[in-house]
Amino acid sequence: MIETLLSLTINGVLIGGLYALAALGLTIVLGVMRVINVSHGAFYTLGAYFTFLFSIMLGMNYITSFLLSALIVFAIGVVYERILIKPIRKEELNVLILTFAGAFVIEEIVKFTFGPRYRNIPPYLSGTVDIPGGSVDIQRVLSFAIAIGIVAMLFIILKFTKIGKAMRMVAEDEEVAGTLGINVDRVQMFSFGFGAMLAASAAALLSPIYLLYPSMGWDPLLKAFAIVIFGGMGSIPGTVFTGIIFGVAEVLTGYYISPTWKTVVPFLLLILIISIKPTGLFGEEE
Amino acid sequence: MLQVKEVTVHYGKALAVDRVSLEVNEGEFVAVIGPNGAGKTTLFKTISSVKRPTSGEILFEERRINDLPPHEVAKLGIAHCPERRRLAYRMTVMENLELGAYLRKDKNAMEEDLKYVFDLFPVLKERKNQKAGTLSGGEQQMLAIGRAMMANPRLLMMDEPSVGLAPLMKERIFEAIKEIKKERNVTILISEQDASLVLPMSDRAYVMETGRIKMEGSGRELMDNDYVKITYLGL
Repeated sequence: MIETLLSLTINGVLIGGLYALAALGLTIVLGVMRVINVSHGAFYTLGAYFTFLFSIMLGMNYITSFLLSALIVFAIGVVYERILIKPIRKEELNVLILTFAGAFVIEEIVKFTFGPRYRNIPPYLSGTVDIPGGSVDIQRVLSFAIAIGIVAMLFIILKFTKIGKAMRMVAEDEEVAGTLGINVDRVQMFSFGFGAMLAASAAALLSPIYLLYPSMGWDPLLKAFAIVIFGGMGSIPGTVFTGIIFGVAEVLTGYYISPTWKTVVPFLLLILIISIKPTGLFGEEE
Repeated sequence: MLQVKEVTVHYGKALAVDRVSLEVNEGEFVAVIGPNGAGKTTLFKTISSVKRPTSGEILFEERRINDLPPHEVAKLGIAHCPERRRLAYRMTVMENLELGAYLRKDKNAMEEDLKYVFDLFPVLKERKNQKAGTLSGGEQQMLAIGRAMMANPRLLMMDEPSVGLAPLMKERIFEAIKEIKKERNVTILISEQDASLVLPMSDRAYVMETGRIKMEGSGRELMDNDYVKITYLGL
């Protein structure tokens, strides 16, 4: 009984870490640019399909495929920001509409290129690890470990590097950041690419677990939104923590209540928290 | 060094700065006094290129700077200590100071300047690992000045450094500004509502009201002026 709970919780944490990774990109873009990027899910889709392209269609090894996908989606993000977002960034509603449209365009391009049918990337590590109350796939453990590694790297970049500090300054006060000599446009372009890359990384790590299809990005987008709001907008520890909570809540609901309620319960939780504390779990009051 | 020529600035349709001309020569300490809403902050923002003028031009060392992006203006050696401090409140004191030196590569001189800032404001050294948001208002103002000094600027603009502070803290801040003026080779342009604090130490000053320059003169001349006495010095 308690062992089942433990096993479910571990499974939840493993998947939650990947949700957190997907949500972090959204948090960073929101924090540094004050832009809500609805294309975030499309970058996720691109990450998954590039991984599919390199690993399955071109037969490269998984690590190379992963890195190439992340880099390409970073570049796509940078170009996307420079050409489409930058000219209209100050008008929030326009950005919302544009990135929404952008997401559909990317989805259609994926559909043209790879076809509408479901694709699947086989796990690159098979086997299971025993845990109390059952076992988990090694694949999930590995994906989780890489995700945590990426999150740790992100922390280090934001905390200790010059670009990281510039990003935090722009997030706090864009105008003053400029007067300190920070090239705000460039920092924002970089942040957007970085956010896209995080979405693509999460997708590359989840793709051996879930199926691929052209509209696969909407579900993680919604989850990422919820996690970002839930965790307190712009808070990185909040996002990671909430991502994991989301994963656990999903798995537990799927087992104890019903798989059909799996996606509903985390959102109900979100509504509850937001009505009690509108700034989210880790959000700072202004 | 700095020439503001017939500059007009609007916020949407509202006129904030109306054909203002002003000059700061190398080594001078120049004050802009005037009440809240006179356009002082807008003027400073326009000089650091955060705000674009509707007409007129701004020259720094004979070079037109009002089309440059703010970070290019910063590169020329203009530091802007903004009104109400505007620090990175979620970052530490030390990180804020590092951001002040964002453009610099001369590590040794940076260390010197850090030491200078810590000597000027010892409390910042004590609190260097604290988040800026946890400092008191006066300490935050010290940090804002320290951050601007970390750029080792040629022109230091301070926008109302005493606003919102208790009288004792105001004096403490102005003591530090006096120090900077005396010891550092930096030209200063400062705006202030409290004329009695700033006029005695100013080489020259401008009186700004409702977006216009109403008067200008040496600090001494303005202190002796009847209008300034009645309106700004409460005499």
